[in-house]
Amino acid sequence: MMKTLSDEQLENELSIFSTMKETASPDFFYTRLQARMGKKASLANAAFSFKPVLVICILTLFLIINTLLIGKNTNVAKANSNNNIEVLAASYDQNI
Amino acid sequence: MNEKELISRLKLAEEAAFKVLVENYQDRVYYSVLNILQNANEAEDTAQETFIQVFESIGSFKEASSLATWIYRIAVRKALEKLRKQKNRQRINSIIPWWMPSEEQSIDAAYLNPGISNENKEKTTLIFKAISELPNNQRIAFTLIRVQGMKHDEASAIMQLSIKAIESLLSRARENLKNKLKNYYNS
Repeated sequence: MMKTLSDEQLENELSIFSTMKETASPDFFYTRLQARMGKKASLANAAFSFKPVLVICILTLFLIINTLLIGKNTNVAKANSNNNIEVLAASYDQNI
Repeated sequence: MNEKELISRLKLAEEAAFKVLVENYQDRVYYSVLNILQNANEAEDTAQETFIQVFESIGSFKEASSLATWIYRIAVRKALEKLRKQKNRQRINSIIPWWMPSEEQSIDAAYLNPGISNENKEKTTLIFKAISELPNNQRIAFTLIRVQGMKHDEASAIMQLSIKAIESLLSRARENLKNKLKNYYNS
């Protein structure tokens, strides 16, 4: 059993390429290419028209979350300030 | 229309110029990527992607090389991307086979060139199978030069490698092919 092919044997194998003819591109190649480019452009347009909607949605969500968090923090702060007054009054033995 | 005029009209995004470009290069680009990918569907898809890329990037074409070399370079890069994706899919498929369906790895029967006689078709399939097992750079260099008959300097411009590097890739590809094809000779 031989280890590898000799140069001559390899060249003999590869000589097959000289008989090959250039294969033409499939029919309607340009038509299909145009259709694909049109589809790509319309997808890009659709994505662009969705962009403002997406931005407005994200901003609204951000505003809602902020409003909720600020409201919650104000209540906590109010409760804390009431507690502080009561603690102060108790320490001076005063009733409010 | 000469090349300079074609390029300037392409830069103005003229559809008629783009049609001329596609008609001039579609066969050569398709044949190149077909030889690299060895699958008719993948080759058509890659050739289309090449022309879309050409249309989108013609503004950045500096004319340092010829238009043909630039188009071939894009085509080869796109074909390499396809090969990398195929290899990644195979890798994922071998790890988690249920994640994606396995792909046909056989050489596309439609690829077999009508210029090849019937008695040579089996041999051609074997040779192309051996070429497909070469590392990507060797595969591209070997295909451009030995299969398509390009000159070393053309392949060097397309692959953006020195002529010495191309010769080295060719020589390694030959050694690998000798090893891979010995089984065919022994049988």
